[in-house]
Amino acid sequence: MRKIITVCFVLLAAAAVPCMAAGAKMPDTMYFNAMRDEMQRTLKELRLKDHQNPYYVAYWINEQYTDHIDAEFGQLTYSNPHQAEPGEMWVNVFVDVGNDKNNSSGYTPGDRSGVNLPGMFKGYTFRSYDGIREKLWQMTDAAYLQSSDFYERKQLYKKKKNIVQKLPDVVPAEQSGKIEDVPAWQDLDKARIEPFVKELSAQGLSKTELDMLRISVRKGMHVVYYLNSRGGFYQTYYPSLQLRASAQLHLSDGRQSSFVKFISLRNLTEEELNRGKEEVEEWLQKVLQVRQVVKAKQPYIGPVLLKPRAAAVLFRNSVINEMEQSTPILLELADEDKGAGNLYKKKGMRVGTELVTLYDRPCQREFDGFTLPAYKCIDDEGVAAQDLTLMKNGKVQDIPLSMRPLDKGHKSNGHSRFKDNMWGRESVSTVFVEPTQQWTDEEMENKLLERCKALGLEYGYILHGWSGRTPSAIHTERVYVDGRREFVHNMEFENDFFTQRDLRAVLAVGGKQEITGSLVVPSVLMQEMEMVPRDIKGARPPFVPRPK
Amino acid sequence: MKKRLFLWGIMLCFAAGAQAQQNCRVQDELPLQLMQSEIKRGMNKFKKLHPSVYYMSYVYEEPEVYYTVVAHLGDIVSQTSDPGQPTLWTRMRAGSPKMDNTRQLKGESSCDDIWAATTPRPTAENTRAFKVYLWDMADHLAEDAQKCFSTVQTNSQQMAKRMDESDDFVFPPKETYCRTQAPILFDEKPIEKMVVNASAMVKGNKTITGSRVSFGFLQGHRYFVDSQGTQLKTPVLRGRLMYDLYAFLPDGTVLSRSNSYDVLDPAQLPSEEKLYADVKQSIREIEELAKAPEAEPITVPVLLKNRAMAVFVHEVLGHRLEGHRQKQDSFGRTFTDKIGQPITAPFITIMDDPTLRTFKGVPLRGFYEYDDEGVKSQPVTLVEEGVLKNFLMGSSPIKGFPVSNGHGRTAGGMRSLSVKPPVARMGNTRLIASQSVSYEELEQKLLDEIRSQGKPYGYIIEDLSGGFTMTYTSMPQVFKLEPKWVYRMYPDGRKEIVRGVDLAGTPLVSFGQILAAADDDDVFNGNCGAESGWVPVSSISPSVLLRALEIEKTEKSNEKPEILPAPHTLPNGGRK
Repeated sequence: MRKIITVCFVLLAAAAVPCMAAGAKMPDTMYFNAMRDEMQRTLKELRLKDHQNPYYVAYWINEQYTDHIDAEFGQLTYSNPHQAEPGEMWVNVFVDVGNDKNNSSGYTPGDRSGVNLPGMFKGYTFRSYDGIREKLWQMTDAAYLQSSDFYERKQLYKKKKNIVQKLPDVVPAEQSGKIEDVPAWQDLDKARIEPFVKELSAQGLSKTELDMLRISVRKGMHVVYYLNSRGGFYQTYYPSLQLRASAQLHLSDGRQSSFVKFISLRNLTEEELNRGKEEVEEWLQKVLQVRQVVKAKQPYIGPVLLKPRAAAVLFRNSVINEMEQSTPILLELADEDKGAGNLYKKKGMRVGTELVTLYDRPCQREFDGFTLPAYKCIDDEGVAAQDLTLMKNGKVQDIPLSMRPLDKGHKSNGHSRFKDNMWGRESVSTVFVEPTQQWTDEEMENKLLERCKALGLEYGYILHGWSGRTPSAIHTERVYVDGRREFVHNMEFENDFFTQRDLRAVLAVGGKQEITGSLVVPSVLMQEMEMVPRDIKGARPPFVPRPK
Repeated sequence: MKKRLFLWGIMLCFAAGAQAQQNCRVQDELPLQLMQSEIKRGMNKFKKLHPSVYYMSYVYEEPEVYYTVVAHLGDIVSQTSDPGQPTLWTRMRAGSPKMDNTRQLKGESSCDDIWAATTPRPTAENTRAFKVYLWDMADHLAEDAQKCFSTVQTNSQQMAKRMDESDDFVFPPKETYCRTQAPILFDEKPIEKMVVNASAMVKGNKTITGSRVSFGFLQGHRYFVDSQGTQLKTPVLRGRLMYDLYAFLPDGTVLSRSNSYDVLDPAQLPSEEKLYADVKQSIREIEELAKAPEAEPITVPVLLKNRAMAVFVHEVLGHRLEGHRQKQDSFGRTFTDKIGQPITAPFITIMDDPTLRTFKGVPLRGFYEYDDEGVKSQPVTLVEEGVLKNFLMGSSPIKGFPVSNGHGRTAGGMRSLSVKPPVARMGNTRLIASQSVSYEELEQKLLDEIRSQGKPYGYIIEDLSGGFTMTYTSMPQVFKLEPKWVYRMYPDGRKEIVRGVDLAGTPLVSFGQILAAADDDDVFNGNCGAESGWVPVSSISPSVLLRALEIEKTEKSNEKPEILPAPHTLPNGGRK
């Protein structure tokens, strides 16, 4: 893989053309050519009488490729007979007017819910130079008009609220470029995958309890091309490969229930497919076990073992969300931006357990052979992303920073990431939760049972995944001190979310990490959680028996 | 009279030509057999429930060939050949034909939402999975139908008496029909070339701000089975080449010109020369429209050219002759009590004939062999010599019209994934004039009418893109049509292009204004949206002169065009 990393020093905040750093080499492709040509025209010619000029523009072009092969009960249900066509392609456009000291972003006339934030526009485009140009032209025009309006309103708002601005809106940072060669898209190999999904789904034929068993192999690739007018650019891609199993059956109490299992694949080698197959088989056994409805009668207060998918929610809710979007937005219709993270105010303070260290490693593309979906080596302000130590010895250490300053002497660490309707804001990339002391899976379960015994409890709970306040039965396993195990259908948590306090109630941490969204997380044994049984009703049996 | 008979002769000839032969046996068709066996198994139980489900049907559609290509400014920007997923949906009726769950509730929206669409992955070859889908869907929908029937019962007790107390359902006659069509294979390359070249023709044009040229071809089969024993297999076949050109003027006016060419086989597509000439003409027209003066509100004589009149018939009269609009109290029921009464000029006859496959070689989008309730399509004379005779009927009877005439239609399957309960809809609507003149003579009649009424000018509506009509009593029961290519004709015979014209009015007045017709019948192929979704339709008409219609100004956008010119109008397309 060819990688070119270049650096561009910011010259003038209001440069008339995008600054291309010496030595920077943007590829001569329709994507970058269309972005460059429209950006140059925008900065040079796009003007609205008596309004501020556009001084900063950023473009993203997104391209999506997908293919899938599905089978149900041993027969193919989908396999595109033709070459898969590229899927959607869309552009995102951000335009800022004014200057770095005082610009149009960081303000919204709404209350942060469902509003288009200044300058960020999205539009689906045709797949050609002319098509991209046309869409960039339209979206840039719309973004500029809105940013011009918001700029004026922001000044009025600051006057109304008597806000004296001590820091500039933006502190420019070194710009970088990185081009990653995007692999040519290859459809799934039908000759290998079709028999695989057919054979695996045929296992459902002997399981007479199942109403449906579908197996699907899905391949995708999301390519992003980025350019901003300070000179930052990148071209990157996010491949995905997944084995998906879906089952449907009637539970013993008459309710119909669906289950889905997503298994990430490293590649499509025989070995990896076999691993996927084993996981599906294991999951299918669990699904059949869950069919027998077990209902809890008593509330539960005691230790809970969170497997990595559930533990990810603990870390996300308790600390990571509070480390993001630290620069608050000025909201016309709300007193404060409650969505802004506040952990930067607690730098150096102990907020969590000492049993883990949290690292953010934006440039790590893979973990254990799997692609990391939050990989981003150049951020969405064109700054090279730095590794961070977010929490160590339980204390807050580094915070993701963008070019929007939090205090004097501010310097971006390359952690500005944009979302569809929001300009780049402070965000983590891939967070690695690494144990300082670790135990095996077996040891973790033993610890859970020991704790139960110590508390005089007959059983404890293992949470295999997260499905909100009311966990799915297949995620909620009750483990008895005498060794019995069963899945429970009707438990729910007393509280909706984890808090920072929960992160100080960790008893032990497992050694085996798993990728869950943007986190790489081990299992966590919680000292205590509170769960209550719900009253769930059964259902009538089907009017007519299922066909054979 | 002689001319009228001649036209009827042509109609019958067309109808006969469209009656295709069965070429397969229902008992050999796996989807039909599986659906039939599940219906039998289900109905044995459903009819014993309280309240009972007394009727059910399944529709299954399997796309086999699908091809689309879209070009923009000389590049192919999208191309698809994936036939996609088959679809399945079902219909259940709980209660009895006298009163069932499908009845429109008074004073609240209908709960008849059981016509559920799904995208089942398995095809019928996957027997176990397919049968489980059929079973699972029926199990849920039977319960929904029961609940909805209970709501209907309560509603009928609480609310005012219905004006038309006809039954909710009439059983469709049992039918078996099987026709299959081999896939039509074609070379995509010449089509791609034609589409790309046509799309490149607007490059550099400073007036046109948006454009696309596309071709789509769809082929597959539809299977219908119901608890009456009906089993149908019919081909679904549709192809369309089209282009759209847009211009956005500084005053907020949006101009558009478009053209479509419907085919049953890609071999029927127009020649490259014809397409390019049409695109060139449309570009000229947009440029002319951009410079044209705006229309002013006025009531004047209007000549509606054939295709524009075809849309006029569809919007102004057709929708108001749909059966369910005579039954529900929430509709204006403009024509409900006018059976046997003259509603238009005595030389006008209006039919709807979904059995017509083509007209003058042009494929008709409103063609179908069986409607979406399993009833054989049939020609219906709606207006005969100016007198209202009939309505378009689905399987919901109305006073005086107890049976379906094969017009129960819905979107769904290959048309749309959003399936709604079928209602009476148009197929191929046709206005026939028993007295006609040449088009030139009709223009002369327009001039005479302008002069005799002492009007400053009249209008010739060449092209209508579409329009809408409001039929609910809660709103003004008016129509509005959106002409795209309009001339003002002055008493001295001068013609002037104008823009910003809308036609508005009420049906009873407007349809009574017909003075004369030409002999230049032509087809408008389009899509019609109503309660049951978007369905393909055709309308055929000659040019017609109306004594007077009201001209309104068209809505304009509040926005201005982009500040900078479109990139494609810059030298070298704006490339550095």
